[in-house]
Amino acid sequence: MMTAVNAPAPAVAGGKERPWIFHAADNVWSALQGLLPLIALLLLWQMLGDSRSPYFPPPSTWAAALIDRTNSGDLIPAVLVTLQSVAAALILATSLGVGIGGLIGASPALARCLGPTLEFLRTLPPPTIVPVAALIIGVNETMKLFVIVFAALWPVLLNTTLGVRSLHPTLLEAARSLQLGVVARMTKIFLPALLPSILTGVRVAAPLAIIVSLLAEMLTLMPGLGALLLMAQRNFNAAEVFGLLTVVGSFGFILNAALAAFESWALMPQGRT
Amino acid sequence: MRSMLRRAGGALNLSALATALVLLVAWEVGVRAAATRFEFLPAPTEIGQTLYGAIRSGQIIGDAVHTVACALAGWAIASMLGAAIGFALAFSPTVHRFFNTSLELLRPLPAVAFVPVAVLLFGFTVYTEITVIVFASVWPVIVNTVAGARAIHPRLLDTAATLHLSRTQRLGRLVLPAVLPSTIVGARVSLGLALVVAVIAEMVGNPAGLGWGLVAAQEALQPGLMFGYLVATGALGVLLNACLRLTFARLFPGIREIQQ
Repeated sequence: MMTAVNAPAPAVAGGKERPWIFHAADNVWSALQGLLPLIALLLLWQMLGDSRSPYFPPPSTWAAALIDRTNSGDLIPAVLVTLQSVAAALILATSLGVGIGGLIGASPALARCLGPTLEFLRTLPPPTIVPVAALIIGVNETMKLFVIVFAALWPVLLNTTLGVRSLHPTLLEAARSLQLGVVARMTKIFLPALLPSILTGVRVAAPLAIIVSLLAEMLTLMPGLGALLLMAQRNFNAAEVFGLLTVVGSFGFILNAALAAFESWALMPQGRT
Repeated sequence: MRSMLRRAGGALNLSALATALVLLVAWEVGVRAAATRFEFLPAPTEIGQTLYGAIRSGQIIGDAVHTVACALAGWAIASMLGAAIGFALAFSPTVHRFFNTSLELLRPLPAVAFVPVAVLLFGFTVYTEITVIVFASVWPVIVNTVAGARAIHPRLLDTAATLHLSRTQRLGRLVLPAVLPSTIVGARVSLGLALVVAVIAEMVGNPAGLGWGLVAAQEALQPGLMFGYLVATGALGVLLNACLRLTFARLFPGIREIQQ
């Protein structure tokens, strides 16, 4: 049978509403079902894998390696350092992106002058900026912050520009007829209207920020998750590499979930969730 | 239409060129005026000379060919794999039920973090690079294919049922034409990604190509060459994007999203 998965489900005969608890149970069950192949793979790996394998050590050794790292006091500071850089850079990139993007969106002349230069900078693969910054700024926190901001800036900037351009003229007229001051205009009209575009940009920027942060740590061996990963690889400690991979994966997953939660909370007053 | 575009392009280019030129001149003058403080910030003219030299010696050309070849190879594999996975997810409820969440868990894994794993498995080779490229650029194709399949109007499927089309006929005449445009849009997104990830993989995984050239120039403290690589990588990105737009517009004139 070839039907798209989303094809409307056939109506249940009787049509009686089921209590919500059944729906919740259904959701949990379907999530578990979705995880089955991954769990099965890991179990098989655990049972069939050789714990001394230099390439595919079983999952229990990953956990052991991670516990070792935690006990030696490396893992948690590394996670915190990476999280701190990513968070600080995201905040900085958002304020810069909103500022510049707002100006460019509001002024067609500025957009014409700066557009292509910014476009070239934007198409530059963000990782390439890491060695350049390491040489010019030196290997320090400023450099890390700079490269992450450079990578995370463009999605926010672009989305803000587009958001400003698609502002409804009525909004601008309303601001004028209410004779709002600059501050009131910003906080009561522009920011709420632009918030969805800005937050979309931040959601796109977050994974980029993580990637560039890890890469900067790998290339310069500055403390952080990336450096831990690279050192584990250089020591041919496969169990630790796989373990750290799960840490990095959960890091990205949790950051994304947190941003999604923030987005729906921030947009709640607008009823756009 | 075309003349309008050209006129817009002309007006755009003039003021934009002037701005870029002013920025470059300011950079040149700034560096020359403060020669002692910026040891590792070369002036644009110096970058241009080094870049020209590296192009003439064939160094950058060879590296660029390697990077583009790897990106294209990884992209081709990722496109086919992504289309297959996307179709399976979209049209088989069983596959969707059992694999969707697992894939959703793997998707946010940053591609860089995958490099050390690939290095452990394949060493510092081109296989590492291509594996990482495939892993990173398969997602847009999957996501777009699934979205395209969801957008098939139920009436189309009803029509197919009414006409008693066989499974193969339905696939060839209805499903593929309806879904492929979204798959192609996804593939276009993932080619840009493939290039970026190729550069990343070369920096930490496979010592070859533009990414490695950039890191090597940094480690050898050759800022001119390093900026040359930077400019070459950026130009390659712009060029590849333009080529892609033209090729796709010519090959698939019906898809509006890829012509913007």
